[in-house]
Amino acid sequence: MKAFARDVSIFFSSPWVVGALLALALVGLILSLSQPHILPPTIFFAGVWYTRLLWLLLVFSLGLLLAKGLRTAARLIAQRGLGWTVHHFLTSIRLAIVLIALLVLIGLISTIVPQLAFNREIDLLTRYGPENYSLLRSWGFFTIFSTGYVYGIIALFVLNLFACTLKRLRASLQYVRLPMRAKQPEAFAHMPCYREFSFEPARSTSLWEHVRHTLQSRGFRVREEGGELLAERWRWERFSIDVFHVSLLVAIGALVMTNTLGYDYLQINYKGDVFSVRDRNFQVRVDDFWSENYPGTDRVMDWKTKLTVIENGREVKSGITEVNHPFTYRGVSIYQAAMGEDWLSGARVTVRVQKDDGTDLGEYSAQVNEYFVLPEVGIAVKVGAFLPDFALANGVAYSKTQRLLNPAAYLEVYDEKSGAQLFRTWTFSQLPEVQLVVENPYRFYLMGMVAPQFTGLEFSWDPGLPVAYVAFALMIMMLIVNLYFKHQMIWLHMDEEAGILRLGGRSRKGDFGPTFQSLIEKIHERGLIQQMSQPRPELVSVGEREEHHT
Amino acid sequence: MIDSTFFFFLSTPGYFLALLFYLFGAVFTRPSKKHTAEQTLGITATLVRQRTEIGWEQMALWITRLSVLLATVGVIWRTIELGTASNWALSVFLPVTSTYETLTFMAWLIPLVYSILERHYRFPGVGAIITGIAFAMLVVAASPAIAPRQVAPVVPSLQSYWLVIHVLFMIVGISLFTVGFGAALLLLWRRYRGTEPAMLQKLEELSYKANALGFPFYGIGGVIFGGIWAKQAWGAYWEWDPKETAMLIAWLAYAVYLHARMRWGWRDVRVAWLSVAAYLVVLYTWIGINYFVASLHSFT
Repeated sequence: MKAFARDVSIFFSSPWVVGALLALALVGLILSLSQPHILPPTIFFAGVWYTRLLWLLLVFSLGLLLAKGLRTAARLIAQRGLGWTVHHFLTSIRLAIVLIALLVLIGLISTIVPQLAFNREIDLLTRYGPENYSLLRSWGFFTIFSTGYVYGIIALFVLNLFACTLKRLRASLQYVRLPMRAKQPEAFAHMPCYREFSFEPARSTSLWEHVRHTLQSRGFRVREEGGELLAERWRWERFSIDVFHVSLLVAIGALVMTNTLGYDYLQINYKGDVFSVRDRNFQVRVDDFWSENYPGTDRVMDWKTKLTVIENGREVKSGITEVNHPFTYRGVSIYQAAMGEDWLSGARVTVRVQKDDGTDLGEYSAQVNEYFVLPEVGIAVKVGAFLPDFALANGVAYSKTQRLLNPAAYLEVYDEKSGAQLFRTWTFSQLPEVQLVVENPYRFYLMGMVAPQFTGLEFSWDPGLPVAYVAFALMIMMLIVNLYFKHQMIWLHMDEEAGILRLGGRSRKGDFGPTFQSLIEKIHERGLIQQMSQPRPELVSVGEREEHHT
Repeated sequence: MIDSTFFFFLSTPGYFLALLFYLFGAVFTRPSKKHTAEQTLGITATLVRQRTEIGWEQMALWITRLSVLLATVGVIWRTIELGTASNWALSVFLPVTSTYETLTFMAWLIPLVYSILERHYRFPGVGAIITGIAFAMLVVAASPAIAPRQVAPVVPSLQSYWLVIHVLFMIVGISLFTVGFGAALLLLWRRYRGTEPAMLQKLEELSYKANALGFPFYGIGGVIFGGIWAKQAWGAYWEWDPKETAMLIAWLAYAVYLHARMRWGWRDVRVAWLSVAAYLVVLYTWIGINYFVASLHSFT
């Protein structure tokens, strides 16, 4: 029995089985999220026996792996202590891979499932249907980047990056402190770049000075040790990746600052509105707003809103906000985010009411969420909603666009005296004959509609922005440093008796060949040295080899 | 009536013909047995190839140059069309405001850069890959379903000099990744056919260099310049917009590639497959995603 349990455990924790189960779950997940009509999420998330079996096996396999990991952790804690084990875990590349893979998976989901930040709830509801929608919503699929588990993964990733950066920084410090030492001239031949020259021993002093001067003029720091010239430059470039990683952490920190301390909200405004700005003791007045077309066309070129800031009852600043050019006052930026007719919340509709025998009861007007009363028949009608472009999907009515393509009003009819609801119905401007949604003694015709013009302004205060920009600048600088600067070292030995000058060189990484060659040409210019022999090909093919230091 | 599309229409078969000639060149040329000066020095011993009398590659190069010239006319014409459509109301813009325009722009830029650098980096197979990719891009651009080609004035949100900076960096990044991808594909193909290791090493290095250089361009253009522009246009430098997120995934994929190669010493087939996988994410980010979800980046 024990042997059987062990075999089952080995089988279900083997990479192939776990991989296959994960792949199946991933395919199912992507299919159910992108094609809900083929595999509805309610079915995929444990709706039928085979999906339940899949989840059960997956949880079992992952549980086995977790138990294995915990056993290893317990052993390590016993052997090396808790601190070492935590440090080992946080600096592990495997953890980084798992976290990046999880972030990639979450990113992938967010690009398949429309997010509430960029889509209307109604569009998601109609896409997935009410049941799937509420299931996915309760699991946070529509606001995936605000869920606890994503915050957890990002936090662990930040910790991992921080720990790895510290570890690497320590190695960099050691590298930078490690002094360049003289080497045996024979060892030069094993360096990626190596050349030998002959010279007249009588001119050794001037050659030595010429070489020293040439190296110094190229930015090399030169010193003598053990009868050799040791030259190096750009040792500090080793830190570029460390600073890049730190900047990445700072940029993430800036994002956290922005999300926790700052704000960003949209406000719909009508002409003449005066309103207070959140957490600020000034107000803003919307003086005017308009759109501008490309000259001679009906294509919009820009949307603009004229604003005036009022502080302590005085007008202190006026200006225009337009797309790509926000208006800023005391750190708060006001963006032009939307413009148009406010059909959904501000529409005013006109309805003609008739009795079913054809008796005309007149035309009435009301705004959305308001009533009009017909005293002669004792009813009150509430305009429950107005949709400029009515559409029906999965039993949900919604407006496809904000344009007047298929206007419809939703009416709730009440008894004027008792207030009891009698019935609810839709009335369509383009389909006046569609009437009896429910049996009732009236006919309603949608005769007209108007909506106020609005400008949508976005208010943003972003205390993390300067920090983010500093981090961005550092990231760019460090990437450039990493690309164009490599720690380069040159050893030079002069055998005065034999009249041989030996040069060896290498760089921390990358191709040192061209630099080495150009230095040699420069040294050669004075005619103080002569080439001794054709160098061995593999020693010239500099740049083919790279040296890696961690 | 002749418009910019006509010139791209002409350069499409041009790239295809060049691709065929490059392939003929690869098949009908054989490695040189002569010892050239470069071989003595051991620099490019495996790369020097003797030309056949027909000179397929030379002809392919001339056809590529001609196609690039036609595409140049197309790009200039498109710029004029775009300017005319907006009555020259904007001071700074490039014809990169839609999928069609970015595809045709890259199908012009990549072979152009290649035909300039060809003298220095003559490498069997690269010409075929470059022209093959340019041809594929123009074929995709020819599909109205994927890339509608109507000329429309630049929409308000794109009216910024950041359009030029952000898009150019992305394009350079994607172009370099494309070279890395092409070299990786060539490596995999030759690896399974059994080519000499030195050639594979050269291809692997080319792929690495292109990807390593593409990485900062893509990252700076996407995360940094994209973020600065997003702050200016939308009010937040990071919003988890689907395209932003996909770009970050692609960048992370290349970060994994670079770490795999530099930290863990991966080489050869493993990094080649990683390079191919990362490039597929780039393609998804650039074109594929537009057909899955609505995004702030949906400009057609």
